[in-house]
Amino acid sequence: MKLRLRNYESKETLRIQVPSPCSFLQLQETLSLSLPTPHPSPPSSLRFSLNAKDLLHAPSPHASLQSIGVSSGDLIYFSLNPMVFSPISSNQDLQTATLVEETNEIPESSTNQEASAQELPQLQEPMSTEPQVFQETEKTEGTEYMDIDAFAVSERFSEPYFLRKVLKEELADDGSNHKLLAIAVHAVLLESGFVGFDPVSGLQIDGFHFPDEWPSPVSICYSLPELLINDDNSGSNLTDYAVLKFQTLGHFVQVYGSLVKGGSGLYKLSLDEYRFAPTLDLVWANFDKNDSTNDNNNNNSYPENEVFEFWKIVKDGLALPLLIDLSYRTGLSLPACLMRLPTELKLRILESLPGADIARMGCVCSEMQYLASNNDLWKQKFREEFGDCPGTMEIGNWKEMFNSCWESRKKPKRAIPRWRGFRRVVRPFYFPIRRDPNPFLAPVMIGGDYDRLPGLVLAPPVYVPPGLRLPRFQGRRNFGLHCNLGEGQNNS
Amino acid sequence: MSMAAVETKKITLRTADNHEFEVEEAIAMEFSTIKTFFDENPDASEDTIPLPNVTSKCLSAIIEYCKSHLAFRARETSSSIDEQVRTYDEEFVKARDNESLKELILAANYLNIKALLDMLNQAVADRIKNKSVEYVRRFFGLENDYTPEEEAAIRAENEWAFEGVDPDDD
Repeated sequence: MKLRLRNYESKETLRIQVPSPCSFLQLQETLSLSLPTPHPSPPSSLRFSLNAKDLLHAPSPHASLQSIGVSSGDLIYFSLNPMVFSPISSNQDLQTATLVEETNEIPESSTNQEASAQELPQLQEPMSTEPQVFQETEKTEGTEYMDIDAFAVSERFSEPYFLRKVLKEELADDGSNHKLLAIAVHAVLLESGFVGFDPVSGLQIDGFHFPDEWPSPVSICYSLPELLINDDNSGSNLTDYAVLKFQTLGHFVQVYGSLVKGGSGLYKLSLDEYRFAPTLDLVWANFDKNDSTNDNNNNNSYPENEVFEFWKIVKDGLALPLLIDLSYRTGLSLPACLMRLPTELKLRILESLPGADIARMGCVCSEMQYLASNNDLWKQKFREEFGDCPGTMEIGNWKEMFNSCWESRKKPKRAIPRWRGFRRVVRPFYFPIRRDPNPFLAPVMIGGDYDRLPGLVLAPPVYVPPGLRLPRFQGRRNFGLHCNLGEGQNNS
Repeated sequence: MSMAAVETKKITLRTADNHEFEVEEAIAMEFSTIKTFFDENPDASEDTIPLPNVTSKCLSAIIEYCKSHLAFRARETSSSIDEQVRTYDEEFVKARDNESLKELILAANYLNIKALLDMLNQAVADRIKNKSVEYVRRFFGLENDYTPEEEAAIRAENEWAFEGVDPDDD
């Protein structure tokens, strides 16, 4: 990999090529060979820093650069003067930081995110300092990463993206995506009530532990908490449990699920890495942002419906059937009757409910919450309740829109001379608000009446997540015909 | 009369509790699961089909439903027929308690009977419409897996939806 080494004193930058993976010692040696003027000091007197302030410290000369946070293309300051960079203080206490913070509002894919975030540090056991790095970035919010001493206080370290890069290098390209999918499958199983299980010891395993034989077929065992308790009490190890076999086939991850004692079906899933890995990647990369920007960024830059599809496929195809089979075979009470239905049907029941009921359904339990927050469902509900709004964009958080219209509708007419009634209007909404009876004047416009209505709270430019198509519409249309906004609405 | 004329061909179905039902082929074909099975195994029509996920109570209700709807469809479509269909459906659902309704949905899902499923979904939705969160939990048999903080946050977020909810009376 290529690195840029800048002499701290002279500010001269050298480009050097080091092998990947590269040890700290190798870097020192390679650099000392590249230094233009011969110098009396040995390579080991070279000191490095990522931010020109703090010493880049390697736990051992053979520690890999990746493990101390250096990746390809990085700029590293060096100096022969040992006093130039200040040594880091120990940040060992950060290792015990918990990763999974309780999110206040439960984002749509929180279970997936939390579970996958939980699992990744376990993956990194072989890289000794990785968990540290990982946890530190998890704790960063906005500008708070100045607190991290050991690593460069530079923009890129606030993104877990660099971690993905490292993982990729360590795991090799064809390994990481498959693991990501496998971890996500594991997450769905956890969400359905399973727990990881070691049949040899009979103990529950928390956290994800991928056996070393990957990418050859590996098996992971799952059981139910009630079964483990029963086992403990009776001292036996004879109850049934579920086994998932993961196998890679090109860019597909095949998962086979069955009960170990047989007698139940073999459930097979084939997950396309090309389809899901990018989305799961983005979920992971956004995990940090989601935490800190709780209330305002509704437009996650990953396609939520892809995550939902993934959840649906794994749940209906593997988790639910295995759960039902296992409960049946071991005499446990089956999962709640209607929850055994496939996801499509549950959604259809929700579809038949009015909007307010769907919102209340979210309060019932976390699985219901996930179902009840489905964006397409809310889009449909919105249309039913407030009429078709052809001028609106196709993207956005429909539940929020529904909520706001609902609220506004309840307020008495006099109190709203203008459309200011939104509760949470800080984030951009995507519908054009119209006051003037002239729907066809404007050329193609995206967004609201920001040039015509000074009182409008929506601020231009309307934020559009990159990469999403915007529907073009030929003029402004009236929005929210049924949203009673007060006087003078033009119902065209 | 067993297998002589195609119109009166009967299919035997065995439920989970080992009751056997003989139904006309036309009715059995309403069950998409069975229809698919026969499409793939045309010679299997003589055998008894096991339905391990369906109880006899459910199956008899389902057979009734399918029979009636087939009869309705055989007549000419008109608004009065539609009216009758609607009334029939309402009566069908009204008579069932929550438990049987749920079992029926599971059975209809297993047998893959679209019209019945749609109707039952709507019926379930009607039963939980405007009910409290607790009622819905009991109805679905769900555990509240939120921590108190999470629950409070979710309720606050959905505050707007909580007005005008029916009080629980059961």
